[in-house]
Amino acid sequence: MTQEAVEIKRPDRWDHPLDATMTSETASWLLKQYPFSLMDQGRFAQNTSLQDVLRNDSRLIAFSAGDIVFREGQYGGSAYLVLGGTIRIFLSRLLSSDRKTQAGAWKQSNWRTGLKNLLWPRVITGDRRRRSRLVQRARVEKQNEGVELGYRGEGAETRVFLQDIPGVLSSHATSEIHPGELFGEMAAVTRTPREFTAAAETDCLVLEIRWQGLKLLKQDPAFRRLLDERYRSEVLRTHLRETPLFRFIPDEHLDQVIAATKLEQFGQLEWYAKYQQEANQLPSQRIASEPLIAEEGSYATGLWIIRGGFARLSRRQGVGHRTLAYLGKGQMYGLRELVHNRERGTNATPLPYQESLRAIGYVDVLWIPKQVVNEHVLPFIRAMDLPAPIPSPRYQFGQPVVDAPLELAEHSMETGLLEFLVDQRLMNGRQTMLIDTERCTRCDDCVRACATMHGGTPVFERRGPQYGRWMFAQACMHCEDPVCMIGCPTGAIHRDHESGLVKINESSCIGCKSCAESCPYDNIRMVTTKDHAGRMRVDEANGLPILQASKCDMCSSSTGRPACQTACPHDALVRIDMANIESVSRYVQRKAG
Amino acid sequence: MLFHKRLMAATVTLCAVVATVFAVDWTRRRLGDESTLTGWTLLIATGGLYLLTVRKRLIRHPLGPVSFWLQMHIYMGTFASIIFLMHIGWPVRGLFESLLAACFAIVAGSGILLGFLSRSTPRKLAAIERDFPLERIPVLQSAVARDAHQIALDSSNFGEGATLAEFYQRRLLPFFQLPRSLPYRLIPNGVKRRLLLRELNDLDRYLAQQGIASRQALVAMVKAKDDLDYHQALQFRLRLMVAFHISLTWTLALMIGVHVVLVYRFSGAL
Repeated sequence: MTQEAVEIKRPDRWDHPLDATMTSETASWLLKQYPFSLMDQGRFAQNTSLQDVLRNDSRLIAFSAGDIVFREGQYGGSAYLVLGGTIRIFLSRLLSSDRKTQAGAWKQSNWRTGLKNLLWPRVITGDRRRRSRLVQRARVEKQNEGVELGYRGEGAETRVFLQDIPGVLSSHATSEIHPGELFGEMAAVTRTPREFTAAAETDCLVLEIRWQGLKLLKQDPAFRRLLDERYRSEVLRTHLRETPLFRFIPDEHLDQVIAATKLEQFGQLEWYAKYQQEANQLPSQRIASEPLIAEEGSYATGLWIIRGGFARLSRRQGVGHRTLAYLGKGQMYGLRELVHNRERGTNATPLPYQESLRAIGYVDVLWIPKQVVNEHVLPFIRAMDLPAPIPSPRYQFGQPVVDAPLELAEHSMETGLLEFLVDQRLMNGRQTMLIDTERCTRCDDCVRACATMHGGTPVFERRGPQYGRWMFAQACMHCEDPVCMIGCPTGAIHRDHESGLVKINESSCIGCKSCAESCPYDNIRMVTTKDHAGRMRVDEANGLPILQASKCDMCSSSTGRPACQTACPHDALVRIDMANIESVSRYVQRKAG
Repeated sequence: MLFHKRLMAATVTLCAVVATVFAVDWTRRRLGDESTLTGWTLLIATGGLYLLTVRKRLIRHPLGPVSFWLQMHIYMGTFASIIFLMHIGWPVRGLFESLLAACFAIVAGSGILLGFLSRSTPRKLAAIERDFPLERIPVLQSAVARDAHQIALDSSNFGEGATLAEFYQRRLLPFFQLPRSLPYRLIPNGVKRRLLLRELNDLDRYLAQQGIASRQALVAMVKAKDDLDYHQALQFRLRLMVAFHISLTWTLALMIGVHVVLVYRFSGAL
């Protein structure tokens, strides 16, 4: 029996521009504006000319005074260039609910509403869903004392605005962004949550550039320079202020810290290719090939702060390395040694670093020299926040290495599992599907539930890497650093602003396989597509099926927990944030009894 | 936390049983019809057991995790079983009533067995180094059988005689090519595996270096095939039990319906 097929034109990269109303005239006008006027158009490929990038990957947005452009903690794949007016970025937290809205946003539901929906089902239209989200959000707004918010516009164009701009500005530390300046690019480039809230102080004209366009624009040195300058002048301050240790440092001292801070990158942004090549190497070879950030036994030259990505904290053990932890965003390395050395005074021999730090994949780090830390950071940290001096150092200059047993915290994870997580890069997952094989009866209720939620085809497989009783199933982990997004030419694979979940927009996915090939965990599959009548879509040019990427979406179209987890009758399946090593450790130990 | 939850559920079940016992006693002392009371209680409790199936079908709705409903199913099943013993007279009279009682007892028994298997089987499966999805096992078995066949064929070219090939043909070919026996499928064990491995080891005295290497490869194949068979048998047994339990519950539902009609028909209510 042959399946009926329908021939269509194969989708193309810019079939779905960011703004369908953007014209060539507008793009030409933009080319005359700073910084595009300084850019060398010859550096761009013919099929992705600068004008095409601006025409398809950007859009003009007119903000009214008070409009919030984005909020701290939201995920976003766009940067913003101010063309007119003034934008303010809030250096202190504007809305107390900002961070909380992230992961919990999609989980809100309870039995009562579930039962009510079951007994009195109602068709939830897009508008109603949006409205209910707004109501939900409005409830949160009430908690933001002193900051009154309002809503204007309808549907997708709904904007949240600050009711009393002068009042809010006077009570918060802010920074101004003027025409020609770019903001929001770090979150877009590093695929991390926004580090600040941005709002329009006056009526503004802003150019939103999505990540795919930004990536192409970065080919131009002038544009790259703009990004670097912008980071050092503004974002770094916000970032340091966000770090608890730097909270009480006076401004003049923080200026000194900023001036001395070095921005460094280790590893490759597209690390998955190297990872796949090295998958069959010995663990010791793999670790040795990881870019070394700082080595144990070497002079403690400064403080390292992880800005993005993950780093492996390890110690030499025998001929290999023993992983002690993986450090993520905001975590530091070298502080213990610096505090120890400072407390012992200048006469004592300083301690070298006691552990090694290596980049797992790609890591963005800040490095602050020792002298600056001693002079401008440590004096302003409360004693209770400082780590205790190292009682029995493993490395001391001029003395043999003390190869004592490694001390592990009471609730630390089993070292083998920790090594496994890092080796398999599983610590990247924010919603990793963890199956306890000593509880799982292999009934496949989870797979069936997934199929029910996704039109009859499950979007995960109940198999995958296994460590002891723990199986890490092949389901999208909604990574902390979703490398699958790097190569997507259309932005079809993106992060949800509120929940941070990695989603695929079916209408703009052109089936290029870039995401599936770059996912280091093989959690994205290419599937054939069908039209509304159930006919398979094939390319009119060659008759080949039109493919689309398919992966777990955490059942975000429905309320409640993902169906796989709900359907497990034996509580054997859980979705867990692997970046939170403590919760993973607690879960594993609790289940192990 | 889990212990407290279970303790509470067990207490509620016990309270329900005690309340029913008191209600039956109270009815008996008032010369009422205690079998009607226990019958309707049993009917409601048995109806409650079907809620698990309903919950599984309504997976789109946020009605709590299925694991919670399974726990409810277990406690309600325990309650229903106790009420069932209170409801039936002894000896059970009538062919249909005997069949109904037997059906209920088998469903309850298969439920208990299923509960035991659901606990013990995952541990046995997890003891094997790799996990195999049931639907992929036949493919993997074929691949192992193919590899073993090739090793046996190649071994005859090493100039060490046909020792391994002959042993393969006589002892290993049926093991690799044929499905395992029904007793093994019901109670999987390592008897065959140990026997074959011992026999294979005994061949070493007739083999040279190359032959020993082939023998070791065959040992690995036997282990791989046995692991697959073991996984298949355990998973198959569990699924068979689930299917048996569920199919009997529908038979039971039908018989209960007929029983209620008969009772009221013969009591003159219908």
